[in-house]
Amino acid sequence: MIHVILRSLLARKLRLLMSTSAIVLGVAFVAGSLTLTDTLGRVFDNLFVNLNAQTDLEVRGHVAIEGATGPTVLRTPVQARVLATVAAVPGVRAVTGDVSGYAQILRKDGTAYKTGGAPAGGVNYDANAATSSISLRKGRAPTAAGEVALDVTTARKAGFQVGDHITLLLASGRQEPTITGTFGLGKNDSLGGASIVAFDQVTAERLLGRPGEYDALRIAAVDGTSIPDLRRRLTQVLPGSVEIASGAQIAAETSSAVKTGLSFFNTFLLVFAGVALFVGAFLIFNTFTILVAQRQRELAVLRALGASRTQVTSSVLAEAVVIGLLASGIGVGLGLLVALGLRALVGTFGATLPPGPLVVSSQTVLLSFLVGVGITGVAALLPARRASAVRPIAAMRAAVLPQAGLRRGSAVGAVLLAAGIVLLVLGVGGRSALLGVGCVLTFLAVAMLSPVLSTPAARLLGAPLTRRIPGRLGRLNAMRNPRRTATTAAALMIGLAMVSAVSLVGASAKASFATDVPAALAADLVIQQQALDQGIPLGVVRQLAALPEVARADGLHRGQAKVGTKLTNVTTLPASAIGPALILKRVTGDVTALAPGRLLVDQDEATRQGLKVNGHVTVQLPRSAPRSYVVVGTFAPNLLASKYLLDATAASGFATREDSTLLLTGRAGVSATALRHAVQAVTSTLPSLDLMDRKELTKSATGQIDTAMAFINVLLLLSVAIAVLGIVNTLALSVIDRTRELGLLRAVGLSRGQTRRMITTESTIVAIFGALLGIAVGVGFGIVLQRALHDQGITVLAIPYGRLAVFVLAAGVTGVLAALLPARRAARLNVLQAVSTA
Amino acid sequence: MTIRPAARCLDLVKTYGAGDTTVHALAGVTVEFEAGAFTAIMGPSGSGKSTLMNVMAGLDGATDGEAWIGETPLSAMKDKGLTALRRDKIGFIFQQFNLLPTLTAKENITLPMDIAGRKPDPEWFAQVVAAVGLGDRLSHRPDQLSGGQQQRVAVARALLSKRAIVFADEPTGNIDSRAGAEVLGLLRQCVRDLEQTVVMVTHDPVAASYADRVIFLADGRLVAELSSPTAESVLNEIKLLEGVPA
Ligand SMILES: Nc1ncnc2c1ncn2[C@@H]1O[C@H](COP(=O)(O)OP(=O)(O)OP(=O)(O)O)[C@@H](O)[C@H]1O
Ligand SMILES: [Mg+2]
Repeated sequence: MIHVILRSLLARKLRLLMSTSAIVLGVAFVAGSLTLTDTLGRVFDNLFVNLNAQTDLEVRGHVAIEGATGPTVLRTPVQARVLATVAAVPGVRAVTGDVSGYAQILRKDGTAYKTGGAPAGGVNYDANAATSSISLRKGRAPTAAGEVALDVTTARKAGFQVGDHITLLLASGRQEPTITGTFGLGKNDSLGGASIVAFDQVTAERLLGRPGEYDALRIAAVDGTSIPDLRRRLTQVLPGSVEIASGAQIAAETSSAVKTGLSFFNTFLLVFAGVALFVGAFLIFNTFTILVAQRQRELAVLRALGASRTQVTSSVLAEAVVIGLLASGIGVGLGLLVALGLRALVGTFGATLPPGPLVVSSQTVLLSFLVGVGITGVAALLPARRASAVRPIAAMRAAVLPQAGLRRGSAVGAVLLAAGIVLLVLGVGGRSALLGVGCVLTFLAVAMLSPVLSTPAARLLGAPLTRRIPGRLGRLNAMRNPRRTATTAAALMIGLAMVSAVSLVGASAKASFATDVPAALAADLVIQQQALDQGIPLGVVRQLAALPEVARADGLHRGQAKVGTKLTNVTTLPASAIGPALILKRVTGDVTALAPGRLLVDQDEATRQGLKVNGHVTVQLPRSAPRSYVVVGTFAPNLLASKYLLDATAASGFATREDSTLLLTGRAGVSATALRHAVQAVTSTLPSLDLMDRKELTKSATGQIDTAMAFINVLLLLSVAIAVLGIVNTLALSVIDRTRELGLLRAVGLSRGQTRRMITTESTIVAIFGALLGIAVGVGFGIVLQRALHDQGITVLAIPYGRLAVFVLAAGVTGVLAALLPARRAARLNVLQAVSTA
Repeated sequence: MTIRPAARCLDLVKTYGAGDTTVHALAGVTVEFEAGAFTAIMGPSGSGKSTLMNVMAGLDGATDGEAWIGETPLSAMKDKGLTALRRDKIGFIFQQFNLLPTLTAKENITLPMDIAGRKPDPEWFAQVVAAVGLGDRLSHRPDQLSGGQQQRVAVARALLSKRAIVFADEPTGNIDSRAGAEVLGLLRQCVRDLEQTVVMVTHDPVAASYADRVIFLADGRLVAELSSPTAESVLNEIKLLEGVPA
């Protein structure tokens, strides 16, 4: 039996290859993203173990906001006097107090050195070999004010040598020290692309930290000391405001935090893998349905010779499994390339990943094969069962396969559709799992309903093409087998639905910005940091406010806080900025009544948290104790504000001291250009700042959306491309199915060109049908997503009609392209052989 | 009156394969098919009947020699010319699978004219449909028609566009003798009343007797011919030919 299956596979290798391309791609994404995760995991584990190798124990503050997590979770500082206490404990060989802070490097040409999202910071140069993870590479350690060392990777990338002067922007101001040396971190040349400037201990404490505070104390034990004993001794003498952790524990914590931070990327890739596999399932289903139809005579003979239904079913399934194995094998191989490519891609986004081999775990391989073979098998199940339904009598007749009525499929489809829509509607509330399941159900439902639609749709879409006979015949061919047309179109539908939904959300987001920026911003200019995790030094706002052209300069500070029991972002701003600089649309209470101890809240959030005007809520900022605030007003969702607005005096409680955004309002009578010139004179010394007016702010926001959309669409287009291969495949199979008809047509005078046009018409109709279905479903999804993202600021629904029309046109062109090969093949058929094909 | 042949061939040779496996399907055939006449081609299986017809109809190329449809030589023509010739000058009736399953009987009949982008003359259409006796079946699709009805649709298709010549390869091979008789009578009638030229391959002496002339092939050569045949005379000729050593 096996060799029969293999032979029948070999005979159709090209076609099967096309239909499995989706499975190959899906498996490649699965294997690739899992491998990338494992590889990065290993890399970071090693990195942090290495970094903390010198640390036996660490004394650190408690997490500032209880329940907060993440790679940069803020802890309360350790008081300086604890250092002496620790040093006096027997068994402690050395202890170092760490400080760190913002330190932006300027390149020699005055522009900011960008890390692409990785931190840019300054630290103390720990010269004590017992505790230090710093390893000097060139020159010497900094020992006095006016000296720094630079991490070796940044030095190389930014073009600095030992002995050079370097300009640094610190929270405390500008510094121009000399570089005395370059260093690595343990064996590593870089910490994930971060730029690190190291000052001698005294200077670091003065320039970076807050006086009398350390981030943490790192302890090296005397050789031979029992670490648990030392820990116990330390616990007895240390105050309750600190905790003790081991080096290994810190390495594990940091590594897992970084991995969590990267996991969104993984999720993102797995979603695409899911889409590709879903499309793939349709193609496999369609291919097997057609192959089974073509082989029905052969199967009937088998049945007539005494093969049982189970035997027929399993012979078809066995074929699917072999294909699934092959596709998964290729997919896993390709997945390794994907992982390499993605690692390079992560690199181009700025994060420098430590080198290391790919980590290909047996779990990854196993899972990839399970997914690939599983999906292929499931997709082939129905065709296989249908194959076994062929009655032996069919061997004697040229009967068509029993087409199970379309009615049952449609009934199931209608029920699924209803369920899908209910889930989607429920999911609008923000439960993304419901949205996901709703999407899948809706796709399946539409796919099941589409055979009912395909014939009328083909009739309608083909109507303008029926003036000439090739068009008329092509349209008839598109109408003759509703299932085939529908399934082929369904594969295209999925990709296009996703692309349309993404386009709709993108257009809505852009439209929202276009209306929200003017609605939220009264100020003339906005200043923002280019680097995501950095702020604007506090001096800047004062400097700007002092300019004669500037009426007011307001600093907004955004950061994490705990409001009630919930971790969220809050923004602080001067109360007087509300109105002249920031426009808040009042819903209840008084939105201008902001003051210490009072807060404003977004109306949606207020409803969700049950907050009312004059109600109380506890707010805890990282560096301050929990405090009860009075709600004085609620406002409509605002682009520049977080969900909660606090008075500027609360800003000292944030983890960082820099402002997040500055709003500048010009004095009356000062022209926009004059204002800009004056402001630029100040900001030009801070090259990493963006200066934008209302229009530019909108544009910069929409530009980011465009970039994100483009990235997502490229990945989604892969699934569209697979679906197009599906059309090619179906057409090729149809040409084989209809060899005799084609011969007959050619015999009675249909020219090669007309034959090609006939196939092209069919292809175009199928493609446009798929596109229209996809766009209809996609617009539905898009609307649901827009509703779901309403609180994220996508408040306006914009349907990108122009773009959707382009999709339909593109689908038409795709249809023409997909028909190229099958049409050529049909036109080249030897008429005589075609006519006499049995 | 000089009769111009509707089609003719001269020293037509068709060879399949090469070396040891060479088959001379046609080994130098010269024959004329008179316009307005019904010619039957007979001969044992493998004698080259279908090959002759296919080459004459431009479905297949000759290895050597020349074939003409009217005054047009076929050997120099490329696919485009041959397609146009088939579209405009030649009608076909195959043994089976003559019709496009997606089209109705009526659409199948007008298919060649649709391909050529011409409108059938409604009067002529009515006449042809009446002649083949399909009036009430025009909107049916092939799978709703019997084998004999399908063949009659094929005949109507060949007749409608007034082809210079109609080739039929065993048109009654797949239907019972009564339906066959109807189709053959129909062809006969078209030749007589409409001056249609018909060339038909058949194994059946009775079918051949409907023709004005029968030519006999054996081993790719023309070996005999009969004018105004009857079933008996054809049968006799076959017996005679079988007696002749190959
Ligand atoms: N494509 C081909 N390749 C090789 N040989 C062929 C091919 N077509 C026909 N032949 C050979 O040419 C010879 C003539 O075939 P042809 O089909 O013309 O016979 P026929 O007289 O129509 O027979 P039948 O009555 O069985 O239809 C046969 O020996 C056949 O085997
Ligand atoms: Mg023959």
